[in-house]
Amino acid sequence: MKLEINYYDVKEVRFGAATAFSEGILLINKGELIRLLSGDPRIVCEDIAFAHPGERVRISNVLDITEARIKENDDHYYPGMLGPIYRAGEGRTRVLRCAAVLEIGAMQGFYGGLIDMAGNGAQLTPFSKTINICLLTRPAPGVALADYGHALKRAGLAASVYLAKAARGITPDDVEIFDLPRPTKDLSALPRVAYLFQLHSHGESREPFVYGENSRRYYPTILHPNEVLDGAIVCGHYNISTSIRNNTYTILNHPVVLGLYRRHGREVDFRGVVISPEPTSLTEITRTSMMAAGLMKNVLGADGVIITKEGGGHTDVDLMENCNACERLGIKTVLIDNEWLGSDGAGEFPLLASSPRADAMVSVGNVDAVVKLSAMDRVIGGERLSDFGTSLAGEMTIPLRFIPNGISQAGFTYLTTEDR
Amino acid sequence: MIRVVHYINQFFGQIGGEEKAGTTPGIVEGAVGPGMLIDRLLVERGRVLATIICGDNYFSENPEHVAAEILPLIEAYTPDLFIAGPAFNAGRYGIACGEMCKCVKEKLGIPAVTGMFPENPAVGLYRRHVYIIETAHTAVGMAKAMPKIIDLGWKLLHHERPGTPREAGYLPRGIKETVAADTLASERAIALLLRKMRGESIETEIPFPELDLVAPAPPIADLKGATIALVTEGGLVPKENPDSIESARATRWGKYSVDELRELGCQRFSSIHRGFDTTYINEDCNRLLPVDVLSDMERRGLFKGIHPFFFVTTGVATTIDNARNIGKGIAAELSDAGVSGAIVAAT
Amino acid sequence: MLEKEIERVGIPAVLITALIPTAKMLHANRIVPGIAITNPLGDPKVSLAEEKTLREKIVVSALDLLTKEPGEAAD
Repeated sequence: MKLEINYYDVKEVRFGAATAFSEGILLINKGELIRLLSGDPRIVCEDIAFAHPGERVRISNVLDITEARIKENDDHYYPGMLGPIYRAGEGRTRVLRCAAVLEIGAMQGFYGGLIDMAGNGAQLTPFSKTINICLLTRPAPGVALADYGHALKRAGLAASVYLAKAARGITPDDVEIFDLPRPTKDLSALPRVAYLFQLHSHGESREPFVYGENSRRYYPTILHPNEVLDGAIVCGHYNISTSIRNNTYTILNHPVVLGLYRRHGREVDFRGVVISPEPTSLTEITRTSMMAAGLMKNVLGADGVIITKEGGGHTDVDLMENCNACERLGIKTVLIDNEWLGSDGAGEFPLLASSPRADAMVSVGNVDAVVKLSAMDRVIGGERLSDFGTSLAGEMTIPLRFIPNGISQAGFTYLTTEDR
Repeated sequence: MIRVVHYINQFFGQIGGEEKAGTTPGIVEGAVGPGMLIDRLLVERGRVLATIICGDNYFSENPEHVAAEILPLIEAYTPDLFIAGPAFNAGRYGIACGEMCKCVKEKLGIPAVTGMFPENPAVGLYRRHVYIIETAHTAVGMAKAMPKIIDLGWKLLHHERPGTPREAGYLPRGIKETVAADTLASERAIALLLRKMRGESIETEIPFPELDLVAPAPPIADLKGATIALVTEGGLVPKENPDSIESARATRWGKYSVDELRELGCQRFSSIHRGFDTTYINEDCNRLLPVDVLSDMERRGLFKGIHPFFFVTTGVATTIDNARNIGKGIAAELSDAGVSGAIVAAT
Repeated sequence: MLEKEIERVGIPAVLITALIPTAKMLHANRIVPGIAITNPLGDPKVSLAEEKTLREKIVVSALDLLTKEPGEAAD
C-alpha cells in the first residue's frame, strides 16, 4: 500500500467570487458553500467564518475538526462516510495544510469546545496555529439530536472535500510518501513496534466511524497505518466531552502513527495498527483485550506496543486490560492517558484503574485542571457553550477539558503534569 | 522583619530524651536549639519570636487535639512564618511537625514549613498538605536543611512560586500542575517504549500511589485448636543481645524463648529500641509482649498454645525494604511452624 | 509492616499499636489500639492488677480479630 500525500500550505483564507487556491491563498465562495451544506434538510448552515492565528478571536461550540482533503483522481474522501467505500491509504491524496475545518453547532447534549487564537488559551491547543474555517450551523426545526449529529458530520466532511478541490492541478508545496516496504531491506535488527488504537464505542453519537460504520460494530482488527492517516476513521462523537474524543484532524495527522512511520526502517520496524472498540461490560473487555493482544503477538509480531484510549474513566479499565493482555504475552507496553486529579491537582488516584504492569505511562495532563483565558475581541460560534454556564466574552477561567487537544488522548499535545 | 514561631520536640528543646517524651506543650521566648540557626540564617530579615516545645509522645498520641491546644500559643505571637523541626527520620516528631504545620497553615493562613527524611512515616500522612524539605535521616543534616526551609518559607511568605521539588528541595507533594513539555506526548511515548524495549531504566509519568495492599489472611476457624505466636518490633532481646540486633534501622531479627520470657521477664530481657523511652517495658515486659495474659488464657483452654518462640526486631527507622525482608523471614518461620495466628506488638 | 508480611503468607496477624493513623496509612488489615507508645499493653499509671485487666481486654480484642474477617465489628 503506497500513499502519496501532496501538501498545499494555506497562508490566508478570504471570501471570493469563486472558490480557488493560489499562492497559498484560499478563496471561498461563501454562498456556494452555504448552499452545499444547507442541501441537507436536517441542518441549517447559518454562516461561514474564519479565524487566523494571532487574531484575538475565540471560537466556541467546536464539535469535530477536520482537514480539507480529497483523493487526487476522485471527488471523494472519507470512504463510507460521504460516498463509496474504497480502501483508504493508497494513491494520491491532496491536503490543504495549516488549515482546519471546524464544525460549529450548538444543541443541548452536544459537547462543544473552545479555541482561542491568541493569548493564554492559544498555548493550550495546536488549533491556534491553524487557519480555522468555521461552519456555523444549527439543527433544522424539530430535528433530533442524533439526526443533527449525522447531518453535521456530513456537512463537515463535505466542506472539507469541497475546499480541497480548489487546489486541483497545482504543484504541491510538499510531498510525503507513506510506504512500509516488504523486507527488501533487512529490518530484523530493529525493534518491532505496533500501535493499539482504542476507539470509544459507548453508543450513538458517542463513537467514531470506521469506514462509515460505528466503532462498536467492530472487533479488534488490523488496519494498515495508511488507512488511519487517510480517512478510514472519522470522529462522530458529539455527545461526549471534547477532551475525551479524538477529532478527525488528530486522527488524520495521528502523532503516534506518524511518529512510528517516520522512524520506520531506521529506529523501528513499524508492524501496524490494531483498532479496538471499548465495550461496556467486563466480559466483553476481557474478550477484546485478549483478541487485540493476540493480533499484536501472533499476527503483527510486535514486541512493543503503544496503547491509547479514548473516553472517560471507564476506559481506563480497557487500557489496563489491554496492557495486561499484551504484557502477559511478553509484549512491552507504553500507555498514554490523561489524569483525573481534581481542579487542585491533588487527587490521590490519577486513574480509575491501575495495573502493576502499567509501569511506563505518558501523561497528557489533568482533565480537571482549570485554565485562564485572556480576553478576546470577538467570539465566533455563539456566546455560550451548551454545557458551560458562563458567558464567553472577555477574560475567563474554564476547565482544560473544553479546549480541543488541551487534553489529547492520542498524544497530540505538549501539555502534561508535573509534581509540585 | 518577619516574625517566626518555631516548634521543636523535648530533645531539641533541651528538656530531655525519651524519658521526657510525655512533656506537655510549653512556649519559650526567643529561639531554642535549632531555632538559633534560624536566627543566624535570617540575620536582619527576621527573628524567632517564640519556640513551642512539646514531648513527642504527648503529641503523637492525640495529634489533632494537641495541635488545637498549641494553636493559641502560636497565634498570640501573630507570626508571619511557622517552622517545625526538622524531624529528620523521627516518626513521632514527624507527626508532630506535620500536624502543626497543617494546622497553622489552615487555621492561621500563614506559610508553614518543616523537614523530614523521605522515609519518615509522617511524610505519607502530611506531604499533600504541607511543604516538607527533604533532609538527611539524622540531625547531621541540620545545617544543610535549615537554609532550604527558610528559603522556601520566605518564597511562600512573599507569594513567589516555590519552584519544583527538585529546585527547592522539598518532597513531592503529590500535587500535579499542568505544564507544557518540550516534546509531544506521542514522541515521549515512543522514546519511552524504545528505552523499555532495550531494558533501560524507565520512569513513568503517572505513578500509582504505593498501596501494597495485602489481602487479609483467612481468619482462624477454631481458636481452641490454634497456636498463637508473638511478634514485636519493640526490640525486646536477651540482655546481651546475642544476635546483635541493631537499635535503629534494624536489618536483623531474632527469636527467643517464650518460657524464658514468662519465667524471667525483665531479669533476662530488655528493649534495645532507641526510638522511645524503654523504661516502662523494661520494668515489665508484659507491657510489650502480653505473655502473662496469654498464658492464663492458654491454661483456661481459650486456644491450644503459644508458639514457643517470640520474634523480635527493632522497628525504628527501618527502611521499607528492610522491614519487608525481616517480615518475610519471620513469616516464613511462622508458616513452617504451622502457627495459626500472630499478635504483633508495636511501639 | 511485619503483620502484612505474615498475612501475606496466609496467617492472620493483628497489630497492636498506639499509632493508629500510621497503621491505617500503611494498610494493616487487623488493628487493635495500644495504650501508648512506651507501653502498648500496659499502663504504669494504674495498679498492676488494673494493668493486667487492661491488657486482657486488648488481648481479647486481638484474638477476636484473628477469628474474624477484618471489617466485621470487633470492639
